[in-house]
Amino acid sequence: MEILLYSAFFALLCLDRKHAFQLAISQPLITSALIGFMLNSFVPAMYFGLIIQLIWLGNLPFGASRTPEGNIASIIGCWLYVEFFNIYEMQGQFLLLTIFIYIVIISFLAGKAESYLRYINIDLFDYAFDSANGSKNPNIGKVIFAALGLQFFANWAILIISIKAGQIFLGNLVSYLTLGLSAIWQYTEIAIWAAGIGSVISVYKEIKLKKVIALLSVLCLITIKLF
Amino acid sequence: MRHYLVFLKVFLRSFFIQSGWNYKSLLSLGFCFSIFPVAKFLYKDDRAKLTAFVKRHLGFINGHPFFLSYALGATMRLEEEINKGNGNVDQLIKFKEALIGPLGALGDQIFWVGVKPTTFTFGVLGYFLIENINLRLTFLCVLAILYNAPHLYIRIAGLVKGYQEGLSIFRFLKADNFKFIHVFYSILGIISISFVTGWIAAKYIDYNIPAIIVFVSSLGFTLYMKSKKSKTYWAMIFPVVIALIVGLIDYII
Repeated sequence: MEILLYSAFFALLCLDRKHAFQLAISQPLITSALIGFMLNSFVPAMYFGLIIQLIWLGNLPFGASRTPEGNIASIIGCWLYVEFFNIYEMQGQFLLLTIFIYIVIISFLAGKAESYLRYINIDLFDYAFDSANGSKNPNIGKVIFAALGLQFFANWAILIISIKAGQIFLGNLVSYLTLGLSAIWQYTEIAIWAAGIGSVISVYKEIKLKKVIALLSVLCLITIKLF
Repeated sequence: MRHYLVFLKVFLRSFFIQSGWNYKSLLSLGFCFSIFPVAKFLYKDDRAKLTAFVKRHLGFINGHPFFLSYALGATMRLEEEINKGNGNVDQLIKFKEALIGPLGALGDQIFWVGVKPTTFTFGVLGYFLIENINLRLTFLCVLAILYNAPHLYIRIAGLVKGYQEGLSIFRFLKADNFKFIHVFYSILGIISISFVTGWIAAKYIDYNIPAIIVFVSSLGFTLYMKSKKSKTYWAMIFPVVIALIVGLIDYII
């Protein structure tokens, strides 16, 4: 029951990404804090939100392009991470690795789902256009809220199914692990950070700016090492 | 049409401009929904004109969702002119189509390339600098302001300026007029991502050779894959594969 309510809340929150308001309240840094509050486990939730935030920033939603649904995937990942980290703290890097791969796949599938809804919205558009010819006053509001409702239910379904599937998948996987293998995934966190940083730097197209970033990064590294 | 309630309704409805996004007319449902209070204000008792209004605003339109406020404001002005008998419907339709390019290019460059990555990279940097949980939560409010100050400014200023300028809004829609936002967020973004990179390098890598290999190769590979626009998912997965390979070699040795 708890998961149904929380998923409904986050499904509503995820409308903020594209469909309504767009106040950036569905970004991982913010939703991870909310998950930490809900599951009463701030530290792992905020850690996951922090590490995953940069990954999605390089996906620019220009025009009609379809981008990975990073925000909804991050919520799923953060939820699973917090839940499993509280039981298998020693397997933190492995959890990070599997959950990260899992949410990349979810972000792809959720992107596909959104694309499918855009086709359904064509029917809503046709209905709105036809209703303008009808006898009653055209009611665009109904159509808009129908589109929002469809997106909400799609988000809700993605959240519930992905969290449940992730719980079963991770629950089975983690029970077979031994701590002796942890050296294999010890660099996962560094790789995700590097991918996130690369994703953000890719936003700056000019070579000159990339050189400035490289120079400032080295200066920052030296300063931190010295002091 | 100095009717502030209509402005307020259009402003509030503009938050739903992307709700009915579809592959046939892109943002037209949201645009029509946003501008509908103007139709009710001008043609409340004339059903034929109201229907014609709805149909012409269900025509194809696209653009950055925040910057479309300029189109909404200018359209309000032109619809008012049409109602007075001074305007031309064909001109309005052509005008809206012509706005698609400038509004999309400006908005994408300022928000998707500038404000959004900058705000949340700054957020990551802030999390590094602030370790106290309560202060981090407070910091989230700073991020919300950092993102939404230019967002709400463009939505409000777009409506007002669009209405004031009407057809002449074209002259205003130049990158130079938004330089103050672009420059501020570009500088903050570059500083933030540089500090985050330096911080990560200092904290996680230290003098560990395999870690340096993972960091540098993952970073380089992501940048390369991102330059190939269709490889978005590989840019996320491949760094993890590199980490696993290096980890496996480290484990075997």
